[in-house]
Amino acid sequence: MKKTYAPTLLVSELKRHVCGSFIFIFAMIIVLVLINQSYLNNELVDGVASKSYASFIPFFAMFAVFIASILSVTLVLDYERGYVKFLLSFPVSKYSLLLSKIVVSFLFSLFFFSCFVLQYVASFLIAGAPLGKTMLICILISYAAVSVVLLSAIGLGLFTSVVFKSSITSITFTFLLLMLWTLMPGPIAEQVLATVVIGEFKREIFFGSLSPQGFLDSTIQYINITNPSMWYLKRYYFIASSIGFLMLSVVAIALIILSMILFRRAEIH
Amino acid sequence: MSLYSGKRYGLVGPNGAGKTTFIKLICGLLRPTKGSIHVFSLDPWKDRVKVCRRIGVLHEETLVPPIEKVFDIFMFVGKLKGLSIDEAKREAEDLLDFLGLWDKRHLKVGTLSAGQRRRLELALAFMGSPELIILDEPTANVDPSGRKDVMSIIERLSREIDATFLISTHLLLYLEKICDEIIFLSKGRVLARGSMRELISKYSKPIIRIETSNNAIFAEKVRNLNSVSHVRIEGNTVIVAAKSKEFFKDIGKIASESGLYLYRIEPLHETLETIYNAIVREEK
Repeated sequence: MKKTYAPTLLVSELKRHVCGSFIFIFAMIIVLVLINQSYLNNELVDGVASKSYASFIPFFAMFAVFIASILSVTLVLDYERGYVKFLLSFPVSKYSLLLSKIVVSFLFSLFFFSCFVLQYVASFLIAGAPLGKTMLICILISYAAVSVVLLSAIGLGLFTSVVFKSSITSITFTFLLLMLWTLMPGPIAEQVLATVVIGEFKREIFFGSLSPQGFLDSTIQYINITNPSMWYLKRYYFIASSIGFLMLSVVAIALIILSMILFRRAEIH
Repeated sequence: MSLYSGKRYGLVGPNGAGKTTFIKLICGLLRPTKGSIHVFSLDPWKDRVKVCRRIGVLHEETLVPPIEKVFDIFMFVGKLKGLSIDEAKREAEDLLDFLGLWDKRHLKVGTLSAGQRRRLELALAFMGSPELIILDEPTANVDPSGRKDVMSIIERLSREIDATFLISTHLLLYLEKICDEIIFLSKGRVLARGSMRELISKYSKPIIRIETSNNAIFAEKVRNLNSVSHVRIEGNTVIVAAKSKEFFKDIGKIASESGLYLYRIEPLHETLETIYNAIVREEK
């Protein structure tokens, strides 16, 4: 008798999502790619690939964040439909159940994000824009940044699922919090998080830099500044992205761990 | 309450008695608010995975995802239960064949009838040769003929499989046939437990069908006895509900004093239902 069931659970979860949401996500990708294509061509007329990438990709990270949250909040739907009870009637630990949900939500939303990255790379190559080392680092850093953001979104979806245990309440709260986070309203976004002083250069880091777009923007901007005379600005973006990385990582880890603890203690009716 | 391995237990009680809660406690889905529960010497709440490796459970509600294909769900559950692909395939084939679902193996679960879905879930509970099989309302949402099928399958499997059974159902007639011991629950407490024979001797009051040379006179005389609670004439017989077994001593006396012939004295068969009613009445 084998005792490893985690891959089975993961494959099953992937299959369920492929059946349930892949068509929707794929249709969304096609529509967004088509719309984006016209903007992309204009942007490339006198633009540098990495700068063009920096100005557009954070917007798609926001869509990926919504997808990640929606997929993770399906935990509450699984609970209501009895799928959680069905799985827990077999030797399946609650942690593996949550982990499979996290991994699948992450992979799906990252796939969504990757489609746009690919679109940019392909468009730049077709347009003959030189990609270079900076663009490659931009892509890598955007993946690192988007991973943190996606994990936070997944944590949020799981947390509302295990706290409210009701699909209507969980989905409503997730959407409200996502809207607040992604489309951060002015009064919140303009709150000063820290002030960076480098010699005579003084600039505030705003709360808005913690939104998915703000965070991705600062991380890619940091890579994009290659002019040595603007080293203070590069440093500013480095500090802003470091703060964002630190805070969002803590939020993501805290939400996921809290969800796991609450789910472990939750009774299944 | 202790359950011993290899026995077949029936769980009986009115709605809200705590039967399903008890089953969920065994499966580690609920945490006991008072007291403790041990399954195979393990705490199911803390060691749910270890406990679930050794039990097979059929819940009251239909839980199998409707979009899955019948055979695929067997393979999936087999893998979750730690079976190799070959073992899962073999068990799936055997169980599907036994339950008459072999023709449906390529269909989606959602297309099956309620009875077929219940049989499928029943089969899943038996996968991986569990040591304890728990069946909570195995005939829920099934039509009368389907109920008979499901209970007959359980009866056969319970005789063929060497496992402990815990069956909760309102179909008392079947429990009588299947179970070695019946446990009566009410408001979370065990009201009574024992084999049918033990329960009959403890809770039943004799009901006797008697045929005499003059039933009307006999009924009149018997009605005045202290050992009798109810008398009625049914056809050419008198049905007497006795309060105690003392009544049997009194019959001969009455017959000889009244000059009546006793043609037939037949104790009526006690059912689990009459015992259940007696226990519920006593509880009230």
